[in-house]
Amino acid sequence: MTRLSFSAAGSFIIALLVLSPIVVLFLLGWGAELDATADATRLLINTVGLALATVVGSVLVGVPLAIATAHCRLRFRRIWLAVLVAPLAIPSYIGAFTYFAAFGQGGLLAEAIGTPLFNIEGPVGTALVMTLYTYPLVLLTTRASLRQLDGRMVEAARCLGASLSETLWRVVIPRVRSGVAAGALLAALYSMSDFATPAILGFDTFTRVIYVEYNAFGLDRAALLSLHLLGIIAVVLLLESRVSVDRESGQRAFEMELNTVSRSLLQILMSLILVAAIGLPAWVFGAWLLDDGATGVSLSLIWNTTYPALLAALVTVVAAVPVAMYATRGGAGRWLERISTLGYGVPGIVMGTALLYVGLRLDWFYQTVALLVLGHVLRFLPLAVGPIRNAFGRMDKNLVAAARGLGASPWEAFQRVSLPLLVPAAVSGGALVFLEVMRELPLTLLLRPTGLETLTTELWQVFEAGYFGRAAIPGLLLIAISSIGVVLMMRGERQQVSGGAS
Amino acid sequence: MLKLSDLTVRYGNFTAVDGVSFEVGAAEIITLVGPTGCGKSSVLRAVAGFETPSAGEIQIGGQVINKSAHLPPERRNIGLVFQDFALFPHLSVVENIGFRVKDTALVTFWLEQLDLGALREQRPETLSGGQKQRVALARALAHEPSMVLLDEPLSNLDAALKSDLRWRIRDALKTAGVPALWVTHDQSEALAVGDRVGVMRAGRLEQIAEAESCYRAPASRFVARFLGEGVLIPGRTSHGAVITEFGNATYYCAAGQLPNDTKVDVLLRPHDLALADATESNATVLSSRYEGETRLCTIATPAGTEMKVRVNHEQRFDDGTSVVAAISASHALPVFATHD
Repeated sequence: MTRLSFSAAGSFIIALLVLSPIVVLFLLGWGAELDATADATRLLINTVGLALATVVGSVLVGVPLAIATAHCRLRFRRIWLAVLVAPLAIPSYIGAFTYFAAFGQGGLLAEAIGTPLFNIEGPVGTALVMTLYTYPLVLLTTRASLRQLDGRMVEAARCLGASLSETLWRVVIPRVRSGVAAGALLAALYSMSDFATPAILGFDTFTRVIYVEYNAFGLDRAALLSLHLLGIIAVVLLLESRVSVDRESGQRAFEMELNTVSRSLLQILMSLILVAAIGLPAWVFGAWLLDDGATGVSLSLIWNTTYPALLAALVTVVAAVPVAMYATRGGAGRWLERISTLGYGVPGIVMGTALLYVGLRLDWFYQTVALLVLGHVLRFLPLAVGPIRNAFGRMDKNLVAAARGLGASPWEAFQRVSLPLLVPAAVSGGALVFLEVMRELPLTLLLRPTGLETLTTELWQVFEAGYFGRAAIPGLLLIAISSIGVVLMMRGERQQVSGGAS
Repeated sequence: MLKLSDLTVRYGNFTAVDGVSFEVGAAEIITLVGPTGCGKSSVLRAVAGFETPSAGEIQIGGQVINKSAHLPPERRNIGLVFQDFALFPHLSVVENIGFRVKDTALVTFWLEQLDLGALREQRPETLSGGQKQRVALARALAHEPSMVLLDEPLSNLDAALKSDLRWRIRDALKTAGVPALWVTHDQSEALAVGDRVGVMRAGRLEQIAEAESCYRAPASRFVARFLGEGVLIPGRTSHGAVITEFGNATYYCAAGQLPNDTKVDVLLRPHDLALADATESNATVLSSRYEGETRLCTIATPAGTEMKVRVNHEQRFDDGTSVVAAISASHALPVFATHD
């Protein structure tokens, strides 16, 4: 009983904490006056327009690639899949930064060719770069749906006289619609929450202008814009909750044999996408390394990146335990858990704005690592709650009863039975938070104490100052960190899908 | 040791346990049996301390527990054995058994007693179901409980293991000399291992007595039908005997001697009848099943009542044979007065 009230009180407090930034934004933004730079209508059109363009782009690229990697007989299909998903591991600021460096004014590509190509800055370039780094989301969800389809359906359609393309269009695609929609909504959320891509490529979306207002000491206007942004994100989240990915039990996946011409075409297409999403950044990094070598990295930079991330991971896991425990009790617990996941939908720049204001009002909190850590905890809590809740759900409830029966107090039972069984889940959740925090940019940019430069903020400074070459090593480190995170996350999802082997 | 007085457990509007009273003597094993949802597990959970009595009280070793006086499970000194074993998956066999045991000799003793010595360093996931349940029992007993509660300990095991493990558990409990409350839905298990058997229905304790009494002298129609096979056929009393269409017999009535000419239902079990070929038959053999030493026949009366009769294996009846069935039992047959 004490255990229950401990987890209930804990998750209630955490839910309140998660909601508090939104309340703060209301208090702060209410009645703020917007001007021409921060014209909400224009920003709304830009942000939604970018989201729509990203959705269209990522579906156009992601769905064919999903079909190719799910159903086409290709050599090295698993390797193709791995590299086609890899752009997910390139943080948006790095993708956008390298594109800016290559195609921008006096960029590397213009230099190499001798004449400036098109200008990457503006809406078209932003949408293009956004598409390149979000199509894997659509690829993954669509492919997961495709793999569940029963191949005999396709054979039936073919026997009824439908051509392969007609079969794809009339039998396959309609049944993976919800999978495509799930990925497309993720891409939309990503494009609306992402700060670095529009900021670097100079396209005025909400996130970019929130940062502009913050720099111009217009925190109230930043808050009001944040509320607008949260409004449209809420709409997308609502849509997302309505998409139900129905499961079919595929007896046999169907396989397509391609003729040589179409197979070569497909391989060329996939290579082109890879060149654009991975090849170009790699080339830019190579050029930077040649020019500037390993300058720009110091031990303090590494330390400043890791220790707040480590703290955030620890605090997140500790906070996640009561939320997860109470959630397995159902009822109010499920609701509090859902509230605690809201922070994940709050863009980093928005969370940063809210907490910065809190810091300004509470002197002792301002410019501290504690505030920075709090921001990360509130955003990344669900990454730890998910695995811990699953581990709890799988745990035999009688284990605690058995320990109590043997004379252990609730606390001893928790320490000696529940806790050791949660450790693997807590470690993987914590690792994920650790990696996410290290690669996080906008929140860190707003909340870090003066003088605390992390890999991401260093990269940002380098961009703003124009010493691009110094970005090479921090950038490569961030890609490495990010890759581990993506691998961990995908492995965790697979475990959840397969019912979680314990 | 353990005494329940008018124990009642309610979940919201649902009364799971409704005024149950009984006492468990020193080193006595009581089995609680009944259909799913009869409240037997709730009794166990209340004794263990995972449910609070809504009314009535539980006395454990001098401590009184009721609605207002709660005692947490860990202070009741009770050993629990679960249906799904509930072994700690992160601990080895020996660490499970010695979870909170100071005296390692006790751990070794129960390891040996239950033939677990070879498995001491293994993890629970590598064990078979029967081994797991022995570890769970050893764990409970090594903690020197003043009482053991077993919640369907055999229902997750296959039939071949059940009968063997049944006796090993009983022997271990007797070796430890602790009283036990053993919940099961398997009536043969209940009859076999319990010093006394408690039969529950819809939250109430219908009868608690030695296995033989419950079987031979059931306190209610429910107990009569629930334990063993048997049918109730109409009869009427006459001078200390009961008259049925299959003949006469002495009778036993839980409510006491009945007046003459009372209409009653008589419990007939398969071995209470004998069959013979006859021209003036009173039943037809529907089917018969050869079971080695005996043969179990299903017969039907002209009125359509079906019943089972166990006969000697040398007697053989083809399906459809007309037979005469007659009461052969020399003991008193349980009767229940019909009120209409």
